[in-house]
Amino acid sequence: MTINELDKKIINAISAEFPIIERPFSQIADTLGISEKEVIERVSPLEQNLCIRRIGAALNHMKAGYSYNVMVVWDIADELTDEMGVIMAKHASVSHCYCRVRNKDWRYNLYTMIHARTVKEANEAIEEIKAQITYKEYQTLQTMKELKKTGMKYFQGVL
Amino acid sequence: MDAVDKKILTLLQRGLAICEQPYLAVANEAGVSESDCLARITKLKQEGLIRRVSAFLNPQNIGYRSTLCAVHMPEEQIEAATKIINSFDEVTHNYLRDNEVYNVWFTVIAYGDEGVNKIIDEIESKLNLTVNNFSSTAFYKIKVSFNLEDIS
Repeated sequence: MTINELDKKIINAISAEFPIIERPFSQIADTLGISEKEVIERVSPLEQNLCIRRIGAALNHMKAGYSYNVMVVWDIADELTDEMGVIMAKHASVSHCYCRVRNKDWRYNLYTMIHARTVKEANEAIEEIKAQITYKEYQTLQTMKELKKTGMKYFQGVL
Repeated sequence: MDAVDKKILTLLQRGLAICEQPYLAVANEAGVSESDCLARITKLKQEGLIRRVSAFLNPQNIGYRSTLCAVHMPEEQIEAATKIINSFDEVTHNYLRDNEVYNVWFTVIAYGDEGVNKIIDEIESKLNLTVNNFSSTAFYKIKVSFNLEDIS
């Protein structure tokens, strides 16, 4: 769908923070100088057309008990990436699964993020995935430090 | 955190309805009043269990592009380089990882491929290090909700 200037303003207003009040769209409408109804009538199609995935909460997964996360990268034959990607995506501990370009120093092309409560749970997940897929090699990259994690404010300055 | 909080968190992860009073349905389903529900959400956010309540976009559907970048960074440069990398609003995630080839991994999200490439070029020139762009060619899953049943 085509995003118009008003859509951009609305997305900008709600991508960083959505008000936790009875009438959140009314507050957004006030800041944009339009009616609550207009905002809702723009947000609905944005959601139906999957521009907006959802309006909701993101939890701090550390505090939610999922304190161990690891990125696992896999070297998988090009002709098998889609098939293996779909299999890996089905595993409950896999939160993200992407196919990415390789380079001369980095042969890995499938990336999975594994969120688990414990190291043991993560290792079990990796073993379960290994048993289900065809791969040449893999590597686990543990998070040593979260240097930044924030939301994106869209259409900042594009307006 | 009690059973009502857990219920609210589960519903909030799933997403709010787009209507005048989006929190009302959550309150009803959790069996509390709307004002109690709002107070609980505010508290869970203050306590840090909720990172944020906001709209979550599919960036590619609104003209944005995102990618994952990796850098081989010498230990002594990490502190200064982190400040530079993190100063970009277009970098939303940045992690230090235990890998000998690439130890710093961050995401770049910007308007269009040109936008992404421009940011990568800027970071590269400020760091004076090669930034490897591992752009995605397919994606199979993004899951952002967590099961709270086992959490006390």
